[in-house]
Amino acid sequence: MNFAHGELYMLGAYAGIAVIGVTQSFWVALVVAPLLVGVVGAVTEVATLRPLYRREPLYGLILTFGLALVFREAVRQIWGGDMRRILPPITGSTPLLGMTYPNYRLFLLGASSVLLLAIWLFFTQTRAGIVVRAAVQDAEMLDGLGVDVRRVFTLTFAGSAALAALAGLLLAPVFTVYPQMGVEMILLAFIVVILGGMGSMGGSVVAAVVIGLTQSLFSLWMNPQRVAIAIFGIMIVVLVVRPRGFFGREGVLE
Amino acid sequence: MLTFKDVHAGYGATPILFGVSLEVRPGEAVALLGKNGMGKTTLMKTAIGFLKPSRGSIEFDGQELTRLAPHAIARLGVGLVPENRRIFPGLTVRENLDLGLSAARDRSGALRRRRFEEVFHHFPRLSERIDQPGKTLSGGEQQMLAIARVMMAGARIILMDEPTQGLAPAFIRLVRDMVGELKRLGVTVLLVEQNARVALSVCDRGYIMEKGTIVFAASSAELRESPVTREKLGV
Repeated sequence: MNFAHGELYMLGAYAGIAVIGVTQSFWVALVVAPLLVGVVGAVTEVATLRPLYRREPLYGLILTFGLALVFREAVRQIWGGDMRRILPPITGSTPLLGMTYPNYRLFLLGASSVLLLAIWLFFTQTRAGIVVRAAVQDAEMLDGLGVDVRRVFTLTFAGSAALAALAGLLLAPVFTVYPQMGVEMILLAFIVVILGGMGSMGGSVVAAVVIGLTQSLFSLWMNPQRVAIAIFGIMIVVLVVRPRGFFGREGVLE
Repeated sequence: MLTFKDVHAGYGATPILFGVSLEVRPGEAVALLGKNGMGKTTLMKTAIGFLKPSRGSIEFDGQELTRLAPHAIARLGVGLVPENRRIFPGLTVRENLDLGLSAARDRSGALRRRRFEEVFHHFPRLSERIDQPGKTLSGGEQQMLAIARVMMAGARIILMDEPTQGLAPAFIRLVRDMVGELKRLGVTVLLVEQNARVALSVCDRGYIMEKGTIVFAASSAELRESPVTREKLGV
């Protein structure tokens, strides 16, 4: 569990702004910014998380909470606290089912579907993906079988940092970029993961759709600021009925 | 081949091993016997590097293991079949076996195919379960998988910790026969067992451990007859 994940998402957007500033290209930034944040992730993991693995999980939780504060303040120092915008690299809109839809949003739909498929293929079809799953189940045993699990943890953290950064930059043209942007997103992400069931990728996808639809529908007749109440309401009801979420498997929390 | 010299180890402030010395020579099958809580599993953990000894040395083929990480020890050719099997429950039989290959020097497709064939020759049941998650296997099948997993790596010495624990008689025989088969294949075995009868029927010699030290060492034939065995193990 990583409370700083939202900040890596936020860093992705700011790294994107920096790279766009140099190269004037959103697409170059889309490749370079996740790599930069991936490196930040790797360095952070080695320097701060690695020494804590032998302790109880609570230590890591508190550490990432602190890291989140550090990242947020660092960004505020460098870029200031103002809201910033990144212009959508794809403009125009397309009529779809009686509504006009911005082309960039359609691109996001395609890009996120491709990413989702790629992540699924990684975890089920590649040796590296199998190693990561095994490390989650029994890291010590995996080490005893000849896998350097410290390296696995570092690379996994770097990879997930890069993915968060990619998401941050992809969504930046739709939302705005500001130091707190990760906080809102991580809350939604946690709700999605808990609702879907820890460790279930399909569950997360279903939960994301449910949360997304709820957000949109409730915004129609509720102050958007209060939609969060509806989302937490759904989470509470689901957790009372199904404590492990939609597709949570037995034992993943133990 | 594997030599423990005056090994002391424990968990935090609780010492478990008080100067264990024992040796396993190439091609041997050696039994390590003793009641519950005498330090047998702890000794196995120091050999694979899960636990670092506070004193003493462990050498494998002349190489000091006490400073190495578990993955480095595994890559030297030490394979652990741990207590409670510890297969990866959420991964399929095929994925579990593929991870076993991690310690192999050569990871070519040809070697992978050959090792899969070898393992399925010894454990046909696993080939029938190839795409099933590990957790759906019976205890005996999981034990086969744990043994097959280290065979994938081509381990030169296999440390087996209580492989017959909780198994039905048919599986106990299978595990015992497998130790004999490994010996025939030239693999050295250090077998930790509570079931002395099974262990001594297949091992060349054995040690008896009590309260963190070796208290008796003899050939299997002697151990079977000795009153010390009965006294120390209560069998």
